[in-house]
Order: sequence, then C-alpha cells, then structure tokens
Amino acid sequence: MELLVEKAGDVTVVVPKAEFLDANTSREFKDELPQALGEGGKVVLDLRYVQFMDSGGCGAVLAVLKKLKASGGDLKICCVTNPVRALFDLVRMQRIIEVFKTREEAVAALGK
Amino acid sequence: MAAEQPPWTLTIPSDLRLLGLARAFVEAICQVAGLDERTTHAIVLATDEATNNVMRHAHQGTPDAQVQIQCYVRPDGIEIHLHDEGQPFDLSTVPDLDPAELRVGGRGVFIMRTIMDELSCHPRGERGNILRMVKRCLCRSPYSAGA
Repeated sequence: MELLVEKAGDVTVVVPKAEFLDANTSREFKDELPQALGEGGKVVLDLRYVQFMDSGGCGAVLAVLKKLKASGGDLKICCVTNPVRALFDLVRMQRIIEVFKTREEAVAALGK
Repeated sequence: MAAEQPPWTLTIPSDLRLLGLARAFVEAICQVAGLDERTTHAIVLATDEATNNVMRHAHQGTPDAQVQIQCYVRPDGIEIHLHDEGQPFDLSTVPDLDPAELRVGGRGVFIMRTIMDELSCHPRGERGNILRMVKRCLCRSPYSAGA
C-alpha cells in the first residue's frame, strides 16, 4: 500500500493512497505504517482516498492509536469519505478517536 | 404462485485478496434490486464482514476451502447465505461487545447484527455452516422487464 507522508510542523500526516482499507489491505497498512512514521509522535491520518473500510480497517487504525498512545503520542483522523463516515457512526469510532473535516483542524488539535 | 428463482451465487477460494470480488458481487445485486446507496453500502459492509470472518476464522486462512455467497432478491428484502467449510459455529456465543472501546478486534459480528434485520448460523451437513442474513427493504425484481 502506498503511504504518502508529509510534515506539518511536528505533526506527521499520513495519507494512504488506497481505495480500500479492509481485512486484506489493513495487514499491509499495519506492516508499512511504522516505517513511514519513524519515531511516531503526533500523527494525522488523512483518509481522503479510502472509499471502503471494514472492521479490519478500524482495527488497524486503532492498533496504531494504541501504539502511539503507549509511547506518548497521539493520532487524529481527517477527510473521511461518506462510506467511511457511515462505518465510523455505526461503530461509534468518534468516541475512541477524534475525526476532523479538514487536515488543518486535525493538525491544530494535536498542537493543543 | 410462481416458484422462487434460484439465488444469485458466487463461489470463491477462501482468500482475503478476493474480498473485493465478494463486495462487487453483492453491490451489483443491490443495484439491480434498485436499492439506494446507503442501504447498498450497509449490505455490502455486512457481507464483507461475514466473508472475512469465514476466511479468517472458519477456514483459518486455508485457500483450498471455498466460500459460497447466495443472494435471494425478494420484493420485501434481500437474503444472503454464506456457505463455509469450517467447524460448527454457534453465533449466539459471540458476545455483544461495546464497539466504542479501544480494542483492536471484535467489531465484525456487531456490524452484521446492527445492519441486518436477521442474522443466524446453522450447520451444513457434516461439514460447514450456513450464515443467513436478511435485510428488509423494498426491492425491485431483477427478473422483471426493464430491471
């Protein structure tokens, strides 16, 4: 899975260039993300390209969140598509992880 | 009364790389049945969860096993059967977990139970199970003219 990595101050923004984050592709996501993040820290996951996510994708994102929190970091999500928002509403993902409309809002939230 | 048409059927090897094919199959049937985008996405998501559960748990990553998805389109809803080749599985033993806990797994059955109106699992002969899911919604007949 191609992961675009950009910097916004001390925040790392990761953009999976994938249409699907499912039980299959989430394995690649979990394997490749640690290399993309390096030290970890504050991370924004920009999901603008993901048109389908299932519980496997949610699990992969939450595994990253757990790992980051354990090392003093944090993760926010931004730019979700309608199908991903529907899944997040269904599993109440927003009670576990903050989801923002824009990348700027997510980056700003990590700077607080 | 006319006999029920045979189900639309897809049989695939138990390989997670084929999840997209299972989704595309069910999505196409939902579109032919005239369902809206929201309902279609929900049914596709439930089928994805059922299929990946079978591949990962019932078949434990054995690609020689087969998964068969059968879809019945009726005027009052869509019924989906998933045939697996795994050990007997009692769906009632899967607890209702709070999906909003910081837990990596355990949301698949919650998603299926929440989306679908009926969900049950029965043994299939000597080997395997049939997972049955029903979504009640108004469907257009895929067999009628102009469908």
